[in-house]
Amino acid sequence: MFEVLLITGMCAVTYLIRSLLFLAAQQVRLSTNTQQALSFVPVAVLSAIIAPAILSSEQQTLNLSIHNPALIAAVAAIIVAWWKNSLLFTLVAGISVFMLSRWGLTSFI
Amino acid sequence: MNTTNSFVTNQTNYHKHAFISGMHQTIPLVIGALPFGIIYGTLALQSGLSEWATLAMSLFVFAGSSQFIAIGLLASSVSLELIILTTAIVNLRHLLYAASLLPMVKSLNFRWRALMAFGLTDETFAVVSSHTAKLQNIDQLQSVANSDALTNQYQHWLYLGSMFTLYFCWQIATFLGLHLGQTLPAIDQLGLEIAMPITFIGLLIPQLRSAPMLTAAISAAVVAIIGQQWPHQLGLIAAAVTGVMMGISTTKLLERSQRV
Repeated sequence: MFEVLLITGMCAVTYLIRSLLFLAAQQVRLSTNTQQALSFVPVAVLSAIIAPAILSSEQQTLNLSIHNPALIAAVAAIIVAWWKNSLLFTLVAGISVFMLSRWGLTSFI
Repeated sequence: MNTTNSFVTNQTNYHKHAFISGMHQTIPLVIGALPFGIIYGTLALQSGLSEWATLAMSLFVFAGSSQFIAIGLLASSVSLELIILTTAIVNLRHLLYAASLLPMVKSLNFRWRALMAFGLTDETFAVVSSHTAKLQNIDQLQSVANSDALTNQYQHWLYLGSMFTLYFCWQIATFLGLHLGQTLPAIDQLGLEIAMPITFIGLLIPQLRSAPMLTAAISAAVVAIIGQQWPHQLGLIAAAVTGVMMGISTTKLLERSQRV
């Protein structure tokens, strides 16, 4: 019974929050200012998810050294994304550099 | 008669094209989400959740970070009300996503909007919003190819493709975690967890085409780092809000300096 209530409750609150604005979409009017503000949401959210995942992936503290494999992989990914603008290229480059760096190959730098 | 027929086939092709494109663009994100799903399946059992409830949570709640937090709270025997309240707080960021996607869903009927709301995840939002940004860039370059303009109109199909791909893979991952969790040798050691932030970098960089966007991204990153220990993803929400405010301020500053 506890589990049924748990899942029903979690399902309800999650769907409520996700659907609130979508279902009221035709009633909601956004001013130009609000629309302009919302145009920054994707960039801000992506960046806010990336930064902690890269800079403190192993420990909970900030790791800015070149011995942080995630940081080296992220730099590689940024360069490749800038240069090629291909998601697949970026992913392959990032993961390869991460693996290499984890095995300690970049400790020669 | 012939012309209407070909019009109809064209239209279904665009649906299909957009749907498949959504699937394709979500695959890199799935690589990152799979290990999380497997780890979720493994940990859920250990935290005392039954097998069917572990699966049902993935099927009906479909929200990775809330599911993780829920089983964490279960393991420390927190009350039902508190777990549900926490889920709501963790999911608050989805309000922001929904607001930002409003222009896209406005013209759709109720059923579409109800369905799309269920699949409003970090991943699908990332895919769909960066696709929108790409289309806007093309618009600004004024080199609008007809097909590109049309994909804009079929963006909800792209969304659907992304959401189904993620949903399907999330179920598989949960199932794998439940049944193979103990036998899979340290999936968290494979380095796959890096796939998620790397893919997000690939989605973020092309969008940083103006000073306000760059300011928004950098300020959000700084606040996210400061707030990463805060409970319930509140750091993420604070970071997003800061990014938005810095983006607007920079736009206003630039406008003012151009006027003078």
